Amino acid sequence: MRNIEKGLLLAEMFSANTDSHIGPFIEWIKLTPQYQLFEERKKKLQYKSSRSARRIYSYFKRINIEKVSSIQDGMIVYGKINYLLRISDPQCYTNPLLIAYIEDKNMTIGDLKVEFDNKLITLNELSKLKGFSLELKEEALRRVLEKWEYELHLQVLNPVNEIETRKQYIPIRHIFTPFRIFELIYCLLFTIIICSMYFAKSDFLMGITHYGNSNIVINLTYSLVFSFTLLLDLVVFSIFFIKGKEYMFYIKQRKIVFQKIRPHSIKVFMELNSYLHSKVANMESLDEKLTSFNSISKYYSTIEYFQNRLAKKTSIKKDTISIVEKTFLLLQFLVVIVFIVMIIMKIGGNL
Amino acid sequence: MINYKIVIQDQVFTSLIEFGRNMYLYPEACESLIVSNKFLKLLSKIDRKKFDQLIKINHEVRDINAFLFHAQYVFCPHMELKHHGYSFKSLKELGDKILSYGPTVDIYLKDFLKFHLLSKYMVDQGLNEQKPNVYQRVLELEIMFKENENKAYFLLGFLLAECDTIIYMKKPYDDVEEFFKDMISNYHIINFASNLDNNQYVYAWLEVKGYGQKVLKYQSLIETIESMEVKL
Repeated sequence: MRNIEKGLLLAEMFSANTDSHIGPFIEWIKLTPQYQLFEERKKKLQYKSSRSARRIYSYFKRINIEKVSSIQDGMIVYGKINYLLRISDPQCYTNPLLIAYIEDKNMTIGDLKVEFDNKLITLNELSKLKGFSLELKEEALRRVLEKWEYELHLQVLNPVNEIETRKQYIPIRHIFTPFRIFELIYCLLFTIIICSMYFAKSDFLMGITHYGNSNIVINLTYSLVFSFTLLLDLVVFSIFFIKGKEYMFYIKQRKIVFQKIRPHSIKVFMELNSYLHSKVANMESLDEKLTSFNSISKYYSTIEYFQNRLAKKTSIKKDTISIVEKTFLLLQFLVVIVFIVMIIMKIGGNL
Repeated sequence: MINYKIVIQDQVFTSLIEFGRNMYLYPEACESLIVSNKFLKLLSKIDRKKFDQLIKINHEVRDINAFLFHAQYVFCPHMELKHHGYSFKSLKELGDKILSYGPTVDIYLKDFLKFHLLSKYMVDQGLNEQKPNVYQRVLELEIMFKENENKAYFLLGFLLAECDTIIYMKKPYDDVEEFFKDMISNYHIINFASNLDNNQYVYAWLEVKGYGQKVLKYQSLIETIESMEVKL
């Protein structure tokens, strides 16, 4: 804080007109390293998903230096900028249970800050602090754990509960429906038969499958059956591959959201809880990496997946045969019928 | 009867009273003279009582300027307020002098509060009974001096000068708004702002004017903002 603004503030409090000094004051604030760091952090906070970070970001957004209309306003804005810098340190708002992305890979649990004795200190400092009872330290731990647990509920467990209440939109599905299995067997079987016919040593079959040995019409019909069977294979297996992937993903995610998230979250929280208490009780450093307790963050994509589905009100449909598949099946079937008629005629000597 | 003469920078004094009355004009010379063996030996012969008083003061007072102040009243107990080149016929004159230098602080005038010279002088001259309110306030300012010496110093100026007019850069101001209007002009603002906290002159004046609470509010706002400031 410069002396000049202090003098101007005093003058302003005694009704002096300081209008001509407000512009330069704003410019000075903008050039301070504090303001530049403030802008930098604001950009970063914008993309943070934790509740604390969102809350801090909302405070950042409220600061509008362009609206400063007096020296006192400017001073208060400058004070707020500095205050926000103090509380927006990633160490203050990072929740080790929920963190998904870490800029500083070397950050440990002990680097996180907690409020103790009206000051922000790191967990390592808290652990090694002398002159305070363990009860007081545990009280500080309880407060920070409560905050993290609350955020865990807000960000993970509540959405899971919400998803559960709309369970009817997330039905149990199987990858293989009976019709799909029949279709696959049909395609596979027919492909084998058609291919076997071509490679068979029988004169009768060679007359059907190889050109120049028999009537060209039956040769052409075989070619058509062969082509349509391969086309049908291509369509059926492509659709099966796409749908199978989607179904497998759905089934896996469904299992995670209904069976794994809640017990896993509780387990990790308890692990963190006992880790903090035991280290602080023994006045040891908390050297575990920040990523040691963030396994819950891998569920974000699952939660988001179902939230999106539910928002769009699109539950996954039962696997049915599509029109394209039906069309190809019908065409192939018709060609096969024609081909069988041809063979019967050939056996009867009419061809 | 011993004949003697005290010579300081070509000035000859033939009595201790005369010497005491003029000591304030020659502080550096007197400093070395009155602690010299020759002078003390002579003094012990001329006036044993004054000699004992001087030795006692020498033991009690650590600062040389305070010692000289007290010493001059040993030699000349009844005279106006004098200290280190200054002579004041009345307390008001001292107050006016303090304010006339504002916002600069005179380190020798500060001695009156710093070493409790003024309160001692008032007691010795009976002024504590003549002006009990002023005396009481001087005692309070001596205490305040330990916390905020410049503010106490200027408050003493306003108290003794019996006025609430600030003299800033030789210009008197009665009206607060007019004062600040001048101070935020490009000509004054830098000097005014940089001296505001250091010399406390303006704060003392505002307090005298009855704006003490407003100043406290201002100071607490500044203190809050500065306590939040992140050092980068």
